[in-house]
Amino acid sequence: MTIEREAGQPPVWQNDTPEGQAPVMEGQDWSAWPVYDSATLGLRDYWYPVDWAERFTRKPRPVKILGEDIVLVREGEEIYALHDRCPHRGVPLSHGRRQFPDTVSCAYHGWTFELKTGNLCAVLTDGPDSPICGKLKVRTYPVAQRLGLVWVYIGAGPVPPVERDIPDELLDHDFAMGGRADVRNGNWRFAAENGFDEGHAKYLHNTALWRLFKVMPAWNKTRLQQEGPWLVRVQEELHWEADYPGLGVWTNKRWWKRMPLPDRPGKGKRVNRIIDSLNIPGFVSIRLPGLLRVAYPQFIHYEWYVPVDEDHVRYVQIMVRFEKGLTAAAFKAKYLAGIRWLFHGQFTGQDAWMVDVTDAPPERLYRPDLSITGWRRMVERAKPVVQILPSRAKAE
Amino acid sequence: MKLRTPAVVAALAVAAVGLPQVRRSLARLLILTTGTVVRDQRRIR
Repeated sequence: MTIEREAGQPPVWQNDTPEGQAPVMEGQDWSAWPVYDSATLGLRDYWYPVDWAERFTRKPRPVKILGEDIVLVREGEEIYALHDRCPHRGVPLSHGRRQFPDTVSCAYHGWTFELKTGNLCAVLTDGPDSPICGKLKVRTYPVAQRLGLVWVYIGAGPVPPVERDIPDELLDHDFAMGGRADVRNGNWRFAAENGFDEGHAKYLHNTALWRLFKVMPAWNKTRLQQEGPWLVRVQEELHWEADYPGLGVWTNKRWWKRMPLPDRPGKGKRVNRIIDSLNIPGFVSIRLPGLLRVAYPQFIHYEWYVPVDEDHVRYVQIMVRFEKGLTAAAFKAKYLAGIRWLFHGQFTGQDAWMVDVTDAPPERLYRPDLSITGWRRMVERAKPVVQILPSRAKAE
Repeated sequence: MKLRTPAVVAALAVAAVGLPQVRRSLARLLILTTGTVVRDQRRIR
């Protein structure tokens, strides 16, 4: 990217000039957000949803979160998490076997660790009096099960209750939910920025089948508002069409599409009582360590961006309806028949596509990107503990 | 008799889905094969 300057003229930004890439200029990199810039692997001292509890069995299963290799094992109703590395020769414990209850044995030499404590309690190839027993342990991680998901705490010091990192409305009410969890390409920050990005939905998603019968705005003006742990995008102006001189009219209006889409849940005609009581001032909100909430009049969509490694993010999305009985049953049927494929499939698949191909910095932001810079500032202000790359941690 | 057989099979299937154990098994199958969950959540606190 280069900048061409002429006397009295603002700079003109270009990509791929014959001279090749110019140095990154001020404002094009992430130096204004140094903590965020260094948080390639995410933020420590938070609980992260990993996957559906039903997906964990007695068979050890490897999972990577914030660059840490973890093995999860079920024993009855409990699920345990240990560092996925036998201290003997570095073989992943996820290759191991379950020889005794409440233990996992390394596949290589039968080093056997207690699931609860990580203590080395037996070495099967060295006899019952093996002198190394009791002298070693593997790191364990706090685990909780909520909302049908397994949550793992990555951090040090006192462990907060998992409820701290779950939205209040999901703790205080009955509801029906549908959801999907998978690992996608791209860094978690691109996923979070995409989720809270003001500009993209009305353009990228206007081809999504989920929006086939709903008009999307052409453009709008937004401000940000902090509400407790949430940073909320509030629409100040909504424009459904615009005339671009020399180009023509741009609009998403079509005869078969209904409008308007309420820009905040409280403005809808039929608003769920619980969603209404939340008094959310805007349609989309985000909070640390990377949880997005999109509130519609009748349901709320949540998505967690769980860092896996530098280039992958675990994407956990749920849709919640605060209903019981027949309405809840109808929602679950609708989720399986349509929402799973349309919203939690093709629609968020478009996001996955963009997150995968995003390549920044350098970047040249525009007016709607105040949502992205607002999120970065929020992370910066929180002074979080950044997960260090394992290679850097070793060097230090 | 021929007409009744599908109806009986359908009724048995509906009754089976009504059993909590069958529902749980179906839900588990759904999760394991598609990564998708549908469930009711009781208030946590």
